[in-house]
Amino acid sequence: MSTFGGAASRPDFETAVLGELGLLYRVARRLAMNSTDAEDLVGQTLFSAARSWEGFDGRHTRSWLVTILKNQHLKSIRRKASRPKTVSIDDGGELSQGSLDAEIDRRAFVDDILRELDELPEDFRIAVALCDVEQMSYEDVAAALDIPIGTVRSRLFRGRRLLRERLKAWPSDYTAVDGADGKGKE
Amino acid sequence: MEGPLNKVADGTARGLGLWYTLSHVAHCPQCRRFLESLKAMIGKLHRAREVEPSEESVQRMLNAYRMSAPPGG
Ligand SMILES: [Zn+2]
Repeated sequence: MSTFGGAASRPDFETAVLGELGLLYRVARRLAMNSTDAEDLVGQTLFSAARSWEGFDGRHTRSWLVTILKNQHLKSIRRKASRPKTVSIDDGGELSQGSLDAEIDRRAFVDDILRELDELPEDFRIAVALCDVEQMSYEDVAAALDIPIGTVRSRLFRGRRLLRERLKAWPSDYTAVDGADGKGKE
Repeated sequence: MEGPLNKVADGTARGLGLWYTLSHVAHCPQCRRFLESLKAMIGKLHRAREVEPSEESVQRMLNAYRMSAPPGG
């Protein structure tokens, strides 16, 4: 529950959204499927959010921004039914030499699990990205996607199941997510 | 059991539901393995949150918005 407690204490637009930029980029990346389009999507989201900022009540900024991001994504899909895919490499910024190896190992894993996540249908992909990667509450995700909480849960659980099935193909010492039947039934 | 186990795995199970599921897991190896592997996967997904856009990427996103913003707005 992040409210600004009245107009006097309300931060300016850029201050309010700057802290959410990482989340917006990661979610945009799950929707747009490449980093260039993800940056464009976030840029459009910020533009649209800035225009609505005056009328926004300041409650649940994160859900509000994700809603705008989702709507911009839908608009952009409608605008360009098909578009040549470009692949770009995300450079992670500056790294100290000492942490480079560990960072490469970590990145390799994160990139792998995100690549599998990106193979899921969009509804399930976004539910997992918002709930499990961004750790948003079911309530906030329901508000952001404008769907009932029960639908969030069912998409999330189904998405996890699909992701588990994809990860089962991995070596067990790498993933540590195999070994179960995948159903959790009696 | 899949729904209750999902709620235990992500920490949203509460009260009687939590108690019942944990009691079941205590004597059901199959559900215990499922819960452990689900928790492991969710833990790994949490780590993907550490991926931040680069400084250049942040600048490009902010510039895209600033350049398209109306003058004086
Ligand atoms: Zn069981």
